[in-house]
Amino acid sequence: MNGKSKRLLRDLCLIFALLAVGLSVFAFSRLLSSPGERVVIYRDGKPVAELSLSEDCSYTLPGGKNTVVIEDGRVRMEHADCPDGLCVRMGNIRNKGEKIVCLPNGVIIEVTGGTEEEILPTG
Amino acid sequence: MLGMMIAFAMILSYLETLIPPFVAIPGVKLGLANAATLLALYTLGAPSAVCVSLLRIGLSSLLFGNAVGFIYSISGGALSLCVAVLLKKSGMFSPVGISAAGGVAHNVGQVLAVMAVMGNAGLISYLPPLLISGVVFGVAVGVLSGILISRVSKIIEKKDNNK
Repeated sequence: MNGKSKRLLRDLCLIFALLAVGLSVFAFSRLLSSPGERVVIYRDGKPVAELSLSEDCSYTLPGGKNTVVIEDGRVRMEHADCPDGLCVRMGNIRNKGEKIVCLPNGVIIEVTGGTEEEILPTG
Repeated sequence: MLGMMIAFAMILSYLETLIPPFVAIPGVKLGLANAATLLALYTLGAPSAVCVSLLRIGLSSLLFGNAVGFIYSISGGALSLCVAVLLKKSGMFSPVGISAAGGVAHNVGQVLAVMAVMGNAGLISYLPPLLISGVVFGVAVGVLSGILISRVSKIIEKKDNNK
């Protein structure tokens, strides 16, 4: 049927366009990324700690639900008691603008450059 | 009929909880239950589809999810519904394309909601991978929806002819 194939063609264009936007923004942010210097930890939107990426340490948020570890210039969510555990599975991050999010517990680990010099969010 | 759709949506939603997270990025999901929403949209119309979608999100959050998750889901679902209804009205796309656009819209809505709740605008960096997964899984669910729509439409036609 003619109508159907026209629609499928437009579908392809739409899908292609959406993919193109997603992939290009992704590639763009990847290209602009550079190693960060500091780590800011937020809970429910408020910063609760600021640490240096260059000093190995372990930080447990008040309440004991999330533990952040900095090691070898990278930071990760070492432990979390949330049901999905995605934040722990994300592994290590080190570039400016990269974030690890624990949605159920409202915790965000963000790598920053120390000074406000980010142009675009990366990650 | 509406009740069956909602039940169908709930089953799909439950099935999806059985699938372990594919990648470590929050928000990447199959969106299976949207097949029920699209089926309702095509066979029963927009108001029924809205019903199915909102009830499904509400009940799923109660049964399988949590309170904050509800806010994220409903934001994504609302935007996704608007996009799907508008695109279907335009008559320019088939279920596959509409599902892809709906999937993307759902993820955009969710990211915006998370950004608002957490108060962190930088979270928008999660959008690119979610855009891609929205399209990919949207297409998959769309193909499934297309099959369902054509089969169910035929059954409904037969029923009406036999009356």
